[in-house]
Amino acid sequence: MKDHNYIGLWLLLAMALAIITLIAFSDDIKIGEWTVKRAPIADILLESKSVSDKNEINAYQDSIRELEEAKIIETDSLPQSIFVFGDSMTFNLALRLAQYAKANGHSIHSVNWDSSNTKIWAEHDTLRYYINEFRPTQIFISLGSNELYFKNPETRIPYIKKILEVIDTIPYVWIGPPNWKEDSGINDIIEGICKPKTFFRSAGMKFERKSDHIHPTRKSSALWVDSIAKWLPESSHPIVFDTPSDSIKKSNPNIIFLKALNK
Amino acid sequence: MIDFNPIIENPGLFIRNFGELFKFDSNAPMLFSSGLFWILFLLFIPIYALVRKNKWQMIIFVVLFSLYFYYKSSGYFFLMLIGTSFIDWIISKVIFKSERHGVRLGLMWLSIFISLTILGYFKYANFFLWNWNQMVQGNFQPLDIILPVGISFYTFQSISYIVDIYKKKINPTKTWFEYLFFLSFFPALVAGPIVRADYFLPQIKHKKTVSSAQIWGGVWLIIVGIIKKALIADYISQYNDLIFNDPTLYTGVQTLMGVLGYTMQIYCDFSGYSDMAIGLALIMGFKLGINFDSPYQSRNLTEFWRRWHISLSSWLRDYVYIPLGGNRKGTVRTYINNFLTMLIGGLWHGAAWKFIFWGAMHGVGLAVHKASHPILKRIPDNFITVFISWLLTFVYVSLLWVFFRAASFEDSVLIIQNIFIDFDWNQFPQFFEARMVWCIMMIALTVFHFVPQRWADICQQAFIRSPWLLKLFIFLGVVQLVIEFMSEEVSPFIYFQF
Repeated sequence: MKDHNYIGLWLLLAMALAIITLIAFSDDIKIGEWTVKRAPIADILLESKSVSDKNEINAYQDSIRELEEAKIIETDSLPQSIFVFGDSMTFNLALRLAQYAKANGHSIHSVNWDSSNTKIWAEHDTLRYYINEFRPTQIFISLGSNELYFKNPETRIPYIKKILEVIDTIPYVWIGPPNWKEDSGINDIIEGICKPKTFFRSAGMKFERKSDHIHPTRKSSALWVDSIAKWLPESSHPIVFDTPSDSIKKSNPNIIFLKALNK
Repeated sequence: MIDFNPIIENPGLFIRNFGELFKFDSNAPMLFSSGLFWILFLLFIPIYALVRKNKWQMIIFVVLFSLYFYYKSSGYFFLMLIGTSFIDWIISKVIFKSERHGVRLGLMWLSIFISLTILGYFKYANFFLWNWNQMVQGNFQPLDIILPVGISFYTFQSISYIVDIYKKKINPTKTWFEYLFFLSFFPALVAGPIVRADYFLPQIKHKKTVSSAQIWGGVWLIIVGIIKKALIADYISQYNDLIFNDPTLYTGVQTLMGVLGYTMQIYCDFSGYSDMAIGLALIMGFKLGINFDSPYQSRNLTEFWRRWHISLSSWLRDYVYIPLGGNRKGTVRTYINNFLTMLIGGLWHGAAWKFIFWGAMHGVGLAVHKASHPILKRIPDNFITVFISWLLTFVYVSLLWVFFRAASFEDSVLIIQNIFIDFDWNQFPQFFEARMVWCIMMIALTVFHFVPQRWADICQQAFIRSPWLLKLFIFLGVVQLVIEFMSEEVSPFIYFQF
């Protein structure tokens, strides 16, 4: 029965907690190439600061949106090279988008990266690589489903911006994630960063889901694309996108599957 | 440079958020590996060190801490824990004092009935209603029931307590507070081990002594538990979830690795939590017994259940299998008793047919092993036979985990089919290249699982004897490793392309 053992234990735990907390509140600590990752202590304790960031972005975006909405945009009647990329939602979207492409004389390529998110796409050269390869004139982005319930969705802001930087001047539509319950703010954040009339908000739509209760079924995804097509004339880059006739049953969406290691 | 400006600029927000951490949050039950528990344990230790010399001070303090711990995980259900413990204790006292066998038996069943009714309502009501509606083609509307955390564990503890008193194996505690201490003991409260009264209650003493070896041995177990649960299980689960969430998307090799991954994940998850619980109790000077003993080393199912979740399997043996007749009523009854025990074991894990199926198949496996025992014992013990028996056991256990984990029976079949239909050996190098960290973790885990217990004991002793500063570095290193891997995205540009 020696109290100093408990003192030793207490000091060890207290010292370790103090060090971890200090790291959490310090600038990046680098050991060679490796940056010491911080415990999310600061994020947890100062959570609502990020809400004000989000509000700032929304207010800024609203003002731009008001200006842009006044413009009348004509439909681009040229055949398009469509590129659709994103997380596992992309697969079913691409199947229906391919029917639209075939019916309207466009070509289509798609990259489905399972469980991917904005960070993964932003931090790797995959997007740049495929944009160089396919030379798209119209891009559809399907990202955000794997970030719906992040505690701090505002941490994704740099990644979303990076993706849009890579896309640069190519017209795009960001297809918002098909929420299965209220998200923690990713939809607002993406919409806030995207150019006006480029974000299609899927949240609030009703979907028939697969057995995982997350992914819309193929049929439901087709209806999802139909809704996007109806909205497209109001987007920043309207293209010819008439509903395909029933005779177009199957079209090759040229899907490349990237299997992610982790989320 | 350390930047505390956000706190200085907005101290109110910091204080409010800090305070919020201590309130009940149904989405964030308190885990031993969480930062909040770390802070609370820092507050707990010095007070415990002071009060442990006085039995009643220690009991009151630990009970209050345990109830708060339970409140943080299950909200106001801590009141139910208090209520049921009081009823159990009163009944136990009456059983003990009564001389009439009928009264004693009736009261024991009354207590079991109350415990199982509460458990049944919270855990199984929707399951039974759903099945009933399936039978009568009704429109099923699930009841809005929140399952109190740990109810399955403490219900089994209370049942064993009452049965042991009925059987006169133990005497009831003199006070209700001692019983509440036993039932609510926070290290074992929410995820076991299922502690037996006859083992635990004698450890409540005046002037409790806790040796240096116990304290640092406990810390060692916590470190091992954190590595298993927060580092390995949580990391490898990210890949396993992909496979189980969408079984049709992956190749046979990927699916097989997902199944193996889950086999290891569930072991690390559960045994890691047990290690932390046992370690915490040891720091307080209490022994909870061993709960996992390298179960995947087993060479048959009977051995597996002697090594896997030992506190549950021994509970089922003593309070279900043996009362059903055990092996005393002939061969056929032995098989049936085995099967029924495992069926109950399956249902205990969750209210779904998949758990019942999982339990039933383990029951069948145990029966087959027992039935084939006369033949098996004639086979000589050499490396090949040992390896084959190990492999058969491991494959059978792993395949049954598929049914345990998959969302539905159909998904389980799809996953297993996928392994056999879409299998290509050539994908292994590609898989290793794509998921290197995951593979390294799995390989390391497999190696450590087969390390003899003696080596693990040597490591523990070395840690106990190591200087304080080295202990701090080891602890910090493990915590930082958890932080490094806890991120939701750890993937480099690695993928499979088809």
